[in-house]
Amino acid sequence: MASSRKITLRSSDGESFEVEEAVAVESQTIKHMIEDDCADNAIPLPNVTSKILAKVIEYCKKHVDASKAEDRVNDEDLKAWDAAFIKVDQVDQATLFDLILAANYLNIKSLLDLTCQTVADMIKGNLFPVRNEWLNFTFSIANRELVLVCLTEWVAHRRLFCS
Amino acid sequence: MNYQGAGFFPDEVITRILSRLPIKCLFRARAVCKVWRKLLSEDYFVRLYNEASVRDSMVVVEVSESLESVPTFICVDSSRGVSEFSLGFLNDRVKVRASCNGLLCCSSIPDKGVHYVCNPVTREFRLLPRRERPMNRFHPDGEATLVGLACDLCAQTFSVVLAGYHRTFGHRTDGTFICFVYDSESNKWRRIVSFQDDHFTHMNKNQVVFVNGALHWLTGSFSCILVLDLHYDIWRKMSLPEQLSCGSGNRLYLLELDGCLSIIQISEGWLNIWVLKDYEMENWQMVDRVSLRCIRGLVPGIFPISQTSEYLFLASHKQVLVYQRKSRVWKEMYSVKNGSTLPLWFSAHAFRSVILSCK
Repeated sequence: MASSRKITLRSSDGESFEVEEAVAVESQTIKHMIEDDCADNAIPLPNVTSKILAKVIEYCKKHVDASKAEDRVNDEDLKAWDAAFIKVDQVDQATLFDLILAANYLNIKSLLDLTCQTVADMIKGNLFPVRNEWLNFTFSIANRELVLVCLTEWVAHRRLFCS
Repeated sequence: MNYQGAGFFPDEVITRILSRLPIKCLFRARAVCKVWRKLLSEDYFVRLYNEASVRDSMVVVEVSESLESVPTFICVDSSRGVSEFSLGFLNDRVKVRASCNGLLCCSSIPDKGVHYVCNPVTREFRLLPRRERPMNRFHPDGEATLVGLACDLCAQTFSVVLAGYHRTFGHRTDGTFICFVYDSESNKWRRIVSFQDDHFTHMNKNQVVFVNGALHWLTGSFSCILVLDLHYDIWRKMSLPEQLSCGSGNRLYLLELDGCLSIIQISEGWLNIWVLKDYEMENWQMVDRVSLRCIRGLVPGIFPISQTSEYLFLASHKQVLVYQRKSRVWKEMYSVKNGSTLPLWFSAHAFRSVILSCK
């Protein structure tokens, strides 16, 4: 039985986070690293910044705590907490997308589902204004097809335009 | 914005997002971009899509100006509201006979004995082969008493069941129940004969549920569920517990809830939702008790049509309502404008959107 061991996670920008093992293993990626005995010192996460890692840890902590309680009421409270956690205004889309990438890399299914559903809801609700800084204009997508095309473009060019 | 170290979304993330979008817009986007077209045919995406769509249960209803005019359909969705729903791609005037996991079984109105199974979202359909005996002797009007559609999303196959009492010309029924089963893999019909003495109300016939490899219908007496096991081609019955049987003033309806059998029990003031969580043990549990105070006037003519764990759709003569279970709020989603003809509940079916080829 796993003791309440502390695991250290190190973000891409060098910050260290100490978390309980139960929280860390919400990530299947980290779980495998621990099982493979790579976790003696800090576990390096070169793909996740400290800002995002802090949020991921917050999410995992909440879900680990929630799974300890038994009754049904907690399910709804947890859903409400998730909604508040992921509520992103248009400025913070970058955080949402970074969370998606982090959840994918760290293999945290529930967080990945939550974030992907959020993006889908934004597209459905046409709340997906694509800021194209480099071409110096913003446009709000009224046409769903255009949204989807822009999503690809945004995704494809994100890499190209990052400095 | 500085995306340090972050790459763009890998394909599996894109497919997860796309799988949660209304499929109509995905299929339209297919023409716009090669990437989407490729993604839409990937197994992983299709599976994710179909799993996610369970949460989006809808209602398809036939609406008509008058009895003579061409039937048109609408689709009611809890988040998107009412939208047009067209079966025009079948090139025939049809009546929807059964709905299961995103597929519809329709019968031609002008051409008796012609049946289609279609996916309204992808607009693909299969015309079922004619059965060997063109003269069907179902009682009383040449149409099958029970029509069932069993759609297996995982195996991507489906079965159609047409069952009814046999009656030789000029005689009464002798209790022989003839059942024709069409299997999409073999593209053939097979015949099962049994003996039944049940009768069915209109809603009993409309509301057939496919779970655990079997089709289920409530019988008119409300005392049991008639089951056709499609693995073994056997009919059997599931009896209902005391609390569920038709008490005074209770009406029962059979629906699906998250892959389980569910019964909606309506009395004057209350609507109880029962779920059969343990199929083998036949263990029914009441999962919700809804007060009908807000819709008191509608209660005698209200019928439940489809549900998810979050909401329940009901249809009356002229309206489609949705009840949100968490917030306990009732909402009218659709209302018939003119005096109109057949009640909406008469031809309302549960529906969900799936990617499944049925060509």
